[in-house]
Order: sequence, then structure tokens, then C-alpha cells
Amino acid sequence: MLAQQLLNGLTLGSTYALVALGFTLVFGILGMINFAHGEIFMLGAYMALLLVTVGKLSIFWSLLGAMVGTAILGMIIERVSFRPLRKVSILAPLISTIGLSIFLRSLAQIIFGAESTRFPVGIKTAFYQLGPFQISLLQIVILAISFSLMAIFQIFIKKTKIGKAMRATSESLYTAGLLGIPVNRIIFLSFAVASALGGVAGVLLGLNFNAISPLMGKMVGLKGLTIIILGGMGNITGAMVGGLFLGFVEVLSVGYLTSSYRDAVAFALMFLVLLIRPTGLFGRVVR
Amino acid sequence: MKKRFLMTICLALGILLAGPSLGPVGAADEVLIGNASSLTGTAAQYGISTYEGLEVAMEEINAAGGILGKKIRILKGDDSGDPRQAVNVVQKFITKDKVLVIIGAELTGTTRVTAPISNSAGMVQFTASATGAGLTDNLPFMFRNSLPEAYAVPFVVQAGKKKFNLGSVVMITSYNLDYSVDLTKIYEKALGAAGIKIQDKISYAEGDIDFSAQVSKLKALKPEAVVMTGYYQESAQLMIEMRKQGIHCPILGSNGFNDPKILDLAGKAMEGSIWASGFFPDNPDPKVRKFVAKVQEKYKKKPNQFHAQAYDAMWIIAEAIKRAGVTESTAENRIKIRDALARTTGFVGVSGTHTFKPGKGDAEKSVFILTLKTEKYALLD
Repeated sequence: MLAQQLLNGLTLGSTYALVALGFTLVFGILGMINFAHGEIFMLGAYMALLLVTVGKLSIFWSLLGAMVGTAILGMIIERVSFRPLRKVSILAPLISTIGLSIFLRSLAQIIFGAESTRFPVGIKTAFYQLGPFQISLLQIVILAISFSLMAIFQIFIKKTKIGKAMRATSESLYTAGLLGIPVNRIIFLSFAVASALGGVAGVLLGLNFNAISPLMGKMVGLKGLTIIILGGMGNITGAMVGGLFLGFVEVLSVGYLTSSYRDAVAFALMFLVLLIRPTGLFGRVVR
Repeated sequence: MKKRFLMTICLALGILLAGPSLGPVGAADEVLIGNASSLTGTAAQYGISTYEGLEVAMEEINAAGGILGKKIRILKGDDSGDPRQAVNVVQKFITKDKVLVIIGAELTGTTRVTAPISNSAGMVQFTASATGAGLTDNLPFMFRNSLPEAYAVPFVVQAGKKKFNLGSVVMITSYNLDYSVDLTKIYEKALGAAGIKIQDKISYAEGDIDFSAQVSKLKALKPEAVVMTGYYQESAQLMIEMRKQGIHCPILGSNGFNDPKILDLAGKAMEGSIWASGFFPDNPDPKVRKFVAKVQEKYKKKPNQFHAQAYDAMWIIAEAIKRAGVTESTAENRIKIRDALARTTGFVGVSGTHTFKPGKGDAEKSVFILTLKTEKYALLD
């Protein structure tokens, strides 16, 4: 059973990691939390659902479509909820994204109904026996997509010009601006990238569990936030490691302790980590 | 200038909000019935079905001349399935709207907190859906025609024992859902009485989306059968995950299995489930056929148990009001209605025959054991 649980944890954790990456990217650059990120995750899943059912596209194209759709949504959020409020106070964008998250959740409930909707699989449920692991084709696809996205994202942020500009902006918005980096455009882009990652995570989760609901963004958003605190606010490696960590802890506590304690165990462990390393696993001490 | 604009907005909002609160809303020629229900939120599906069932009955009753010459009007009160909001809705019905009878609340949790309020106000509250244990105990003004789980579960356990020759089961509970925790206790009692052992217990939380860990744990237990006590969304998710991980044992289910939405979600994964129902939509009884056709025409959907029980509840209440011979919401009148309602015997509705025994608020009624055959609801052989 351990092997199977580890695999469950890896699949769940990789989805968490994608959500947390988006969170941490926005936080790293702006020092602000986008509370609507969970809803972007949820809407990504619904966009893919519409593309599959109404648009009759294959799951691959739907995934890409949802990525583009959520990226656009992210840019709209930046324009509407962040940019006008960025300079007012640090709390204003925070509150506006909380409002936006409630708005998007209710909107989804009105459009798609309050109940869960079945997510068409599109990938046949074949199983492979790899030693002690029984892995499904679907899980392989999910793991492949999420880990390659994480790798691509790492390369993007480390090697490309835009990625470098993003890192510079996250060091200091002001200095980056002085050095000729188009700060506004970089922020705009990072929202797009962050949201696309969130959207993909939503689609993968829908694929994995066959069902999506307008409320699924709420808990995932909260978990994403916890993960980036654990990993170190704004730290990219931290978000990935934190996501996997949470996935494993949750699954193992269900498997070996009483399931009712799952969230308690997960959050208690995080608390312990933060007691020992207050800046998070990979966070830097801000002087 | 800006300030004045804001003031105007505030004033306009104030008027809008204050408007409807001026006194009771009922006109003299109406029988006002409050429906406290979950029209939004995670249990919205149940609340909407219930309202639709009430509406069909109301239209029939009004078309036939109403109650004592007065037309029924249903006031909607949405509690989002939240007990705190349910309290507000019921209090508003009692103090502001001065309704004659309250139908609701939808869920066990919301009914548990609202029933004592109606009871102490001397107002009949009638739930057509909440099935938790002891909801009407010691509350003479509280009634229900839903199938209480404590009444239905022993039938399911017996049917399961006979059909699958069960020696043990694994229980799955949503640990932070009243309904599921209550139902788990009821199942434990019924299983004990039938001599079936509980091999292990597994739990999850409301709103969970990942059940892979629970199911892997379940798989290692190699269960003979599984008992699911949650709402339909999570139950469907569990079924899908179970079948995905290769567990094909029978499932003993709950009232939530009656919502066709679970079939939409779980599809073939639901096969091998058995559960109790107060209503079977494919029942050849002409009364049921007529009702099914009406709901299908009006709402473009097949009625479920919630539609049926709400429809019957409205009729039972209407007949009781007729027998009591009063339509004004005064304390004495409401006692008359309560007494008339408590004397309902052998009412034949679309969800079976209903009788209220003296001192009991739970209707005694027929139980159907259902299962899934080729992705359709069917009676268990």
C-alpha cells in the first residue's frame, strides 16, 4: 500500500506544486497575494470542460486552450484588481482579490450550476504494473505534464530575457524600473504565466478525479497559500518542494492515521517547519 | 459632489433593502407557506428539487380552487445549506412574514437548528427531505415525510445481507458532515442487529476533491462491501476512484444516492450499489406516471425523491389546513393545523402511503430498495 500511497501523493503534490508556483510568482514580484488564484484554477478546469464538451476538441488542445484562457483571465485580473490599487496600499489589492474570488466563484455557480460536473476523461484507463506501483496512463500523463511544466518554467525564469526581467523586478520593482525594465509589462506577463500554471493544474485535477465543481478553488487556493509560506514566500523551488511535501503528508496521514486528522496533521507539520525555519524551507532572511 | 453622490447611492440602497421589510407580505386572500431551503451552495440541488416539487403541487391545488377558496403562495427563503442562515430564514418567516406553515429545512443540519425555533413559536415545520436521526423527537410541531435513515437503513442492510451474503463491511464517513456522522451511527446499529461486522472505518472531509489515499487504504483492506454515508458529490467521487483502483465490491448507500446527479457523475462506477428510496420514478402507478410527466414537462428533468416528497408534503399540509378549516396565522389556528396534520392517516402520494402515528412526527411510509442496472435506477430483485 505504501507504494500506491506515495504515487497518490506524487500526483496530488504535483498539482499542488503547479498552483503554488503561480502564487509564489505573483508574490515574489509584487509582494502581494492573489486570492483569486484558486478561482483561476477552478475556471481553468471549466474552460477545458467547455472545450472538450462544446468545442469537441481533444483533451490536449483543450488543455492548451484553458492555458491561454486562464492567462488572459490573469491579465484581466492584473488590470482590474491589481494595477489600479497597487500604489494605494498593500491591503487594497489583497481585499480586491478576495472580492474577485467570491465574484468568480459565484459566477461559476450561476453559469455551471452549484453541483459537481463530470469531467470527461478522454484518456483510456489503462494500468501498468511497475514493481510495487500500479500506475494508470492518466497518472503518467498528469505527472509528465506537471513535471515538464515545472522544468520549462525553471528554464524560462532562469535563462530567458523575460524570466531574468521577472527576477530583477522581484528583487526591486523600483530599481528594475530604473534599469529600463518595463516593469508594468513584466508584472502583466507574470500574471499571465502564473494564471496559466494555475489553469493547467485545474485541468489536471479535473482529469485525475473526473469531476470539477465551482467550490474546488477555495480549498486549493488556501493550500497553495500555505505551501508558499512553507516553501518560502516568493521562492520557486520552495513552491515545488512545498507542493509535493503537502501532497505526501496528506496522503500518508490518510493512509496511516485517521483520515479525519489529515488537515490537522498537514498543518501541524507546516507549523513545525516554520518554527524551525521561520522563513520557510527555501526562504531568505530579509534584512 | 462626490459625497452627495455616495449619499444618494446609500439612500437608494437603503430604500431597496428596507422596502420589502414593511410588515407581513401576505394578502388576505392567500395562504402563505414559507419554504426554508438550500437554493444555493453545495446542497442547492436538493433545495431546488424540493422547491420544484412544491410548486407542482401548489399549481395543482390552486388550479382546483385553492385551500378554502384561498390560493397558496410559497415564500422562498434561501439558507445556502448553512445552519446560521437557516435560523435567520425561519425567524423571518415566523416574525415578519407570518406564514401559516414552514416547509423545510432541507438538510439535517439546518433542520436540527430550526425545528426548535418553529416549535417554540407554535408553528408547524414540515421537512420533506431531512433524514437525520431524531429530528422530530419531542417537538410536537415538527413533522416530516422524508424517509428517516433510521427507518430506511435496516431495510438496506437486510437486503444487502440477503443479496451479497455479507459478513463484514468497511464504513466511509464524511467526518465533518452532520448527516454522514448520524448515518454512520445508524448503520452501525443496523449492521450490529444483522450480525454484520465493521471491518474498519475510513473518513474524508466535506469539499475534498482527492480520494485516492482513502481508496488505496480501502483496497488494502479487501472489503466485502462498503457503506457510504456522504452526499452525492463525494460519494460519486469515491465510486469513481474505487473502480479506477480496481475495487468492485458492492456499496450500501444513503439517501443521496436518489439524486440522479450521482448517476450523471459516477455513471457505470455506481453499479453494485443498493440504497433505500421513498420514491421510484419508474413506478407504473398512474399517479406517479402523471407526476413524472408533469415535472418533466415543466422543468425538463426527471423528478427525484426530493421532488416527490415535497409534492406529497404540500398536499398533506393542504389537506390538513382544509380539515382544520383555518387560514389565518394565529396561535390557536396553528395549533388546529398541527392537530389536523398529526391525524393524517393513509395519505397516498407519489412517494407511497403516509401515516402519522400519535406522538410521532415521522411519517410511516413504504420503502423501495433500489440498485443500478445498465446505468438505470431499478428495483433490487
